[in-house]
Amino acid sequence: MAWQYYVNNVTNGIMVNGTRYYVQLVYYDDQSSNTQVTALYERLITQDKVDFLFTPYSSGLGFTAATVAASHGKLIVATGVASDTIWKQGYTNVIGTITPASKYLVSTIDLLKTYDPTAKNIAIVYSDDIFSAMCAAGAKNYSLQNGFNVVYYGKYPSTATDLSSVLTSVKATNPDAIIGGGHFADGVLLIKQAKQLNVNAKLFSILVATDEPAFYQSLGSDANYIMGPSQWEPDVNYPVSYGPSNQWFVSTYMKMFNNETPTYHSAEGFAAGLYLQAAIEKAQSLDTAKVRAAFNTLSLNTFFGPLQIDPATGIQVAHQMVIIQWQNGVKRTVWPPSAAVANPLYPKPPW
Amino acid sequence: MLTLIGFEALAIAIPFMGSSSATSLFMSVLEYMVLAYSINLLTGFTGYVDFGHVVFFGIGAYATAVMVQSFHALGVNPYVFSIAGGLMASLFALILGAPILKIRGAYFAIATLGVSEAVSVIISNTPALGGSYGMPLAAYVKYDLTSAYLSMWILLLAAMAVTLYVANSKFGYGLRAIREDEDAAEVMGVNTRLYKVAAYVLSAFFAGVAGGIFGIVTAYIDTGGYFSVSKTVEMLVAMMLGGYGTLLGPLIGGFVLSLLEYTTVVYIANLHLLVFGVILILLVLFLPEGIVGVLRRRTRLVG
Repeated sequence: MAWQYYVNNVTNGIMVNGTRYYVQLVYYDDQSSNTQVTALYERLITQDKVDFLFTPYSSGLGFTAATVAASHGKLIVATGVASDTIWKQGYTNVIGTITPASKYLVSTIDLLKTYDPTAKNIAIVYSDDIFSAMCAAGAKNYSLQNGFNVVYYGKYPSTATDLSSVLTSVKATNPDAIIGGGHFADGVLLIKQAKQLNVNAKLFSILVATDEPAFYQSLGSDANYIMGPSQWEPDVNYPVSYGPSNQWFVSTYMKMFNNETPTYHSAEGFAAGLYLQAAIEKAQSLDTAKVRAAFNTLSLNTFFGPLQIDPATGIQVAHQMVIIQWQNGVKRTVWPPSAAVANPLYPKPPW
Repeated sequence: MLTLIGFEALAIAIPFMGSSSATSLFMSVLEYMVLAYSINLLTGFTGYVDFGHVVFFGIGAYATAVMVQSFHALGVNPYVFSIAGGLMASLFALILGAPILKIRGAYFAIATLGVSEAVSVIISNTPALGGSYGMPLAAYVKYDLTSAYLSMWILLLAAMAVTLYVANSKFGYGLRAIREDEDAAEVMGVNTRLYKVAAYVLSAFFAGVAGGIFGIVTAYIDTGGYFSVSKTVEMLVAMMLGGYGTLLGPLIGGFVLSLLEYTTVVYIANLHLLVFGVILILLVLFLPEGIVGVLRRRTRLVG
């Protein structure tokens, strides 16, 4: 909705061959049900006759929407869909906006490599669910490719209430970095027990949990120095060559929605719209095939970060996760350098 | 009767009239009807309120997905595999039925809810079934609404035929006797255990096939979507709304509920749950016997 406001009031429509087109968003509540998604996307396409589609939230519903879109030859811009598998189903009409799961932890390894060329040993511990497993597998591959030793690679049940045995094994390997995690509760537990058992590392990067303000509330000063990946943060500071500045997005969003700070979900939704807008402008057409072709050669620097797809599959390849770190009780973006607002505090002192 | 046939002919013709959005809408109407018939066979006839009925929908979807993955190379229409989904759901009901149907009343409702959640958790921790990331099927099946729609119709007619048979058979009288007073029924010589399990197995079959058909249409299944408690609630509401334990109740209830839901979702975007909820409360307060009950009373008065 913020994107609709941006196009219709700030850029004054999308100029295609001398005609200004204004955005009209049509949306329904899918109630997170696959069967509703089928009926509602059919309605969007054949009754509301929309020109372009966005995916619903979550990979599961995204699959269903992509299937319906493909059967009608429609282009669908994916937002809130992190599973890599959707781009392995043979669809060519799905355009990715966010970093897929297999690359969630890759930026952490880049950061480590940059700040500590002597660091060698990485321990990966993850929750046993497919999303975390995908992130962990991606991290393992990337670590090995970059000359690190993966000294520990192990999982724990997603409902675990005690991680001491896993952490004891990790401690024995004396790692430079401990990365992984899964969800909120186990992420907090991981840090709590690492302290109790005096498991030290120069860098901790934990999925999902670190991003939440409640992470600091649960752990207090123990949360300091802990890092974690995120698709976007309200304080990122990318160089922007297309679309509004990050500041504009955050302040406009807050004005529109009761002073609420946007989460990365809102930012990726806006970014998906912006991405489509750029492709339409480049194609100078509303024709699906021409816009799809325009995406292939499009490379943007937006408030959300760089955007570019792999031409064959449509998966996002340029956008990378930002890394946040808790510094004195404040969550700051510390990576990549193009988006960072503070330097990472490294190494983390022992507990 | 003639108008009913006319209505059905018209409805079956929908996919051939070219609007896929109408087809997909009526797909979900049919889904509600079939699921209402499914739960009616158990809950409507025996009074055992099944709060975990969605487990059969989910098992059917997963069994069908596994079949599709394994045998898609055979080139048969994938909707055929949904029958295997139904059989798998029935098998599960057969195994589960004997122990769980010994429990009565609220305890039965809670036990079935627990079973449904447990199966969902087991599946989401089974990597061979896609775990918590679900099973994508788009690589194996073509999106084919017409086949799906016709399969649903066949399933609906089968569910109606079975309900008609049950309603007028010794089996059906036995089930109703269980609903009114199980102990008395047993004393009167009704094999209550066998009857209850049979009703459970039958009702599971229809939910299972429906799950299979939907799994293929949506080209993706996961435990969140296919084991959701709200789906069980929809089945129960559709059945109650139409009139439980009757032949036409699930048909009418499913039709009204699905269109009501769709209309509120589409036209009252953000308030639809509220409006929907109020309408449901009114219906339950003023139509406790369902729409069929009201019609019956009317005709009796008139007659």
